Amino acid sequence: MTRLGMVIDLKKCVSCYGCVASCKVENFTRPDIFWSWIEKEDLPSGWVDDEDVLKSTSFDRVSVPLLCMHCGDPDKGETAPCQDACPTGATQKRDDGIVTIDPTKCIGCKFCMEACPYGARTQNPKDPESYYPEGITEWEQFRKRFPDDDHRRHTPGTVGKCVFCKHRVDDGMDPKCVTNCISNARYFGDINDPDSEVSRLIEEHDGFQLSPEHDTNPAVYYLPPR
Amino acid sequence: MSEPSPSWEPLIDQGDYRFSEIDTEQDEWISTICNGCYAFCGAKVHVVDGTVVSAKGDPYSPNGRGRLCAKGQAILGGLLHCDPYRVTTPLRRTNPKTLHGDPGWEEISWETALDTIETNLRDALPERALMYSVPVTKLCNRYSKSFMAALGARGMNHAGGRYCASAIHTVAGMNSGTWEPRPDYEYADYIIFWGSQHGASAGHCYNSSVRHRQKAWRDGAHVVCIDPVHNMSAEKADEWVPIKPGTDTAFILAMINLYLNEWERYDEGYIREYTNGPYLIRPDGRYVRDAETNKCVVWDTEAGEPKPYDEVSPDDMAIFGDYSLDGTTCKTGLQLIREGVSEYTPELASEECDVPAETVSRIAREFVEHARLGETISIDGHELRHRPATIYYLQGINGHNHGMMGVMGLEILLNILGIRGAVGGMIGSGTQNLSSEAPISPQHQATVHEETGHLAISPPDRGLWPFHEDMYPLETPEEIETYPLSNLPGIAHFPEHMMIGSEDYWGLPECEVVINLGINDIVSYGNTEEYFEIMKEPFTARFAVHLDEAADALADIVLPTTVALESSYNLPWNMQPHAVGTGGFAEPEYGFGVRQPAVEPPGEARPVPEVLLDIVDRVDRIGTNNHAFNEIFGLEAPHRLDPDEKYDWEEMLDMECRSKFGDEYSYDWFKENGPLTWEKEVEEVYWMQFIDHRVSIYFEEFVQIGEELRDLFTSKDIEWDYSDYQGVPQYKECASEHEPDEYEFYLINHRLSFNSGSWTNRIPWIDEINDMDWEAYNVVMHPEAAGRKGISEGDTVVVENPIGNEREGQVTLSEGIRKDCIAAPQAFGRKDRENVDPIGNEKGFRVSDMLMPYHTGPDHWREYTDVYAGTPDMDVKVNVSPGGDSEQ
Repeated sequence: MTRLGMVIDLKKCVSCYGCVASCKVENFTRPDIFWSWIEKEDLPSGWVDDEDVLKSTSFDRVSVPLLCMHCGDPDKGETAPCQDACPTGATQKRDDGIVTIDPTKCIGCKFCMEACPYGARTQNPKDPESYYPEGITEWEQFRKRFPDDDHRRHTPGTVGKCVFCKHRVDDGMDPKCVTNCISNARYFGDINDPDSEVSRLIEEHDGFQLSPEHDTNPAVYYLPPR
Repeated sequence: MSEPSPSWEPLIDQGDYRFSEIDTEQDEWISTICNGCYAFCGAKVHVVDGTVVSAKGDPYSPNGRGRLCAKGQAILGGLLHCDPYRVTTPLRRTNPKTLHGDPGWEEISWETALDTIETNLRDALPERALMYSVPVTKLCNRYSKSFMAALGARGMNHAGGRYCASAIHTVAGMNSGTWEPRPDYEYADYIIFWGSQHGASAGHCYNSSVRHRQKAWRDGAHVVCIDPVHNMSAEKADEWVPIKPGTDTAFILAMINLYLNEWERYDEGYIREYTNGPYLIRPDGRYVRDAETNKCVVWDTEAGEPKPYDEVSPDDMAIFGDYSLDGTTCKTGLQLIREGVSEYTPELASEECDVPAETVSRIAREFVEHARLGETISIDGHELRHRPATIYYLQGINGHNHGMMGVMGLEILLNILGIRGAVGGMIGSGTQNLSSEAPISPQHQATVHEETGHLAISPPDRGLWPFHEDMYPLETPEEIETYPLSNLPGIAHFPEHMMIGSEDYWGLPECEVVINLGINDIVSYGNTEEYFEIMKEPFTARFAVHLDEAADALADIVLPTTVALESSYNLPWNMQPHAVGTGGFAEPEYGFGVRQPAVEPPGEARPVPEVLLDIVDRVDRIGTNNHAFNEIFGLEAPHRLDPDEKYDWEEMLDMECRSKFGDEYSYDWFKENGPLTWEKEVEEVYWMQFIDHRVSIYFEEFVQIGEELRDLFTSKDIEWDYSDYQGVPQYKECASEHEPDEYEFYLINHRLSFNSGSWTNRIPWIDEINDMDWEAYNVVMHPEAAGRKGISEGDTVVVENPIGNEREGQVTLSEGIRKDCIAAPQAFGRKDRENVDPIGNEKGFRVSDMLMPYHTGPDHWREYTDVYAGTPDMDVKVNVSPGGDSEQ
């Protein structure tokens, strides 16, 4: 079966934050909520098996774009840790591997947030609704037009995260952070198909998953920065 | 050569997303153009029931190719349109001008605002006492230039101009018809980024250049970054060389010395055929000229005598040596360069640059080996010079008080190895129109100057190029009354106060009216108090999207204006000098597109050009305006504007579209269909290999300009420093080397791709990203240096320059910076009145506060400025001490 996944080429990523901004615009997330974000470290130790892949010739720093890892391969019967932690069944895994949250079933218990090793989930606060103290703008008001179970509704109290832009994926498009990546550093496709572009890139360039010690089998792979 | 890898090519068009989950009456994507920087990327804006809800790059635009950077997403994504802090009505000051005081803004009608401007202009126009300020990021040279000409305005200035690479633009324009030395990313094997973050975190046409540079690196090009700070450019490099600030010229001249004297590895054929290296130079630094034809003269080795350059086969030209002409010893240009660089050994460079001598030699060797001297490559049946080693350099070289020396050095370096114009080398952004298929001309028309044989370039669209005149020969400075600064050599980006207070600086009448097109000149200038004292005098009308401290302090009238979502414009990307994403085959197409309003402006806000047209009309200048527009936009009959008719802005844009492409391609056609594109040809991308011409490696014209300036300024009683007007570069220490010892840190500034000027962090999405970023709002310091000063991560520090200016900043520690440097991004530290706009206010460090020439007044500013280009010395020395809330 198809398992949708992403490859992020750390060699090409210039940490321009285009993914972060385009995610906010695409998904109508609230102030200070990021489904896509970047961490820059003077070497993110412990994140990968072989730290040598992150070594530069002189000084070590690498920018790592992050998002929900959509852990677990449905073909192998694997589940995501957030899914296991969810007491109401709000978090589900689709057959194509995308991990979703049904806001109408989410009770805001935050067990999933504790279970996620990547910090990919955030709870929608009641306030602020708007970036501006003056009140909600028409752009922010647009969230309320989505159905209650839509990931772009951001109902206060519920937990949200990246859903690989499933509204786009179901329309035959790639997630916004992929099509908008100015460095062409992001690729999206079927990581269970050995002939897909993403599988070939992982194979050819020693793609790796973050935090393998958690044994979560993420659907997001990174290509080494050097 | 790096093998192109098709699987890494850009995404194709995936279509326009439409909402199926909600009921809509309107759900459409409108084609437009971003205004986040001067790249002007093609974009599409998603409008649903009158609300802009998202944006994306236009896949069919050669600029951006379907992507938008963070700025573009934030500007076009919808929030900026409904920002409650936007100015939506014209305002008039009721309180006197003060710094950070309450202007007592009173809402007035457009009629009253324009009446007031008209009255002031009518009083000032006869004295031509008027000035424009142009924010390059929000608007464009093209129309502001034509309006300036229409009003007879004294001058035009750029808010960011003082941080502009003016010395580079002069040399690159003169020698290569380009705005900057852009690498041929598609074929380059070895690329040095020297004081530049092109394709990493800055650079003209950032959006496209990132894709091109990072593809080149991924495909195997070797990338070296020479920079005091390990910024994004160094992160995306194989090697980081942390050079001491301001010493680059010593490194450059050492490389030339190795090539010309030690190793004798240079492209002799190219030097003979394409440069003035063989030309004979008199002891006074000027060309030997043929008495009859005034042509430059070379030594004919076959005949054993001097002859005009075009009468001797390049193979017979002497490129080195001394020759006696009528008892005077003359030398070839290349001989003077060889002698001039002979003292610059790798050891000397090492001492100056704090880079090991072995590193200097190794990089020089790697570079020349990758340059493949003597090799050619076949592209589409053309056998072309192939030099896949290149250097991209910008402000790190340029931003010093002897910045021109380094620029000259790198131009020599790229030419003695035949890299200029070569496949894989330096191709620039300019192109010569050699294709019969192209519907409109590329950037310039190249001819050859008969007497010197030098490339002579005329930009066809003078509105796009900030050069007022042809790029070669350099204009002789004869007068300073008309445009007091633009006809000085270089582009002379001097700050506004030097033009307003021009009595002190240039002995000219002071300006009485200022029209500011929306720049925060106080943030970009830095010396707030002095600037305020000078700039408060003239009547100031100021366009504004938001109020800011500069509007509050200096404006008499504020005019509410629009952002890209609400305005109209035309963008010939192939002519836009900053749109260097269009250079080379890394982007295989040229194009033309238009910006159109996706939504109505908020309140009474109006686009700048429409208001300027009203102003021009009110002072009876429509005829002049239309003439200027015809010339600057290059309109041809029957699509030239009638001098007696007033057009609205979109009618004028329509005339340009029809003039360039024919009646079928109206402005409305572009609104409906998006950009028009066409393929590049080999003869256009590598045009420098298809035209017989020469360029300067010995800079005789600078010696000439120095002499002419001396005559002019002496007659006007203006003091000037003529010591940098020389034919061969030398390494000269920056002024910062002579500051007292307690100022132990160089303050380095740099750009961040996700910010543009001081205005983009008013958009909450950008402000959030700056908060997320490790350095945006911080001052970067090495942990060892910080430890010595008792400073820890997150501490507030006080940064003080040698003139006693102090400013606080928050420290973040990183080993990715030299121990004798601190670094901060440019253009933060806005300080608006409380509640004017809290987003992004008082965040980050205001680097411009620290720059020296703006604090030293008319008598000393030249000591800290490259007199050639007007660029301030950027490696200012500062003292850093723990600030108020730090633990002592």
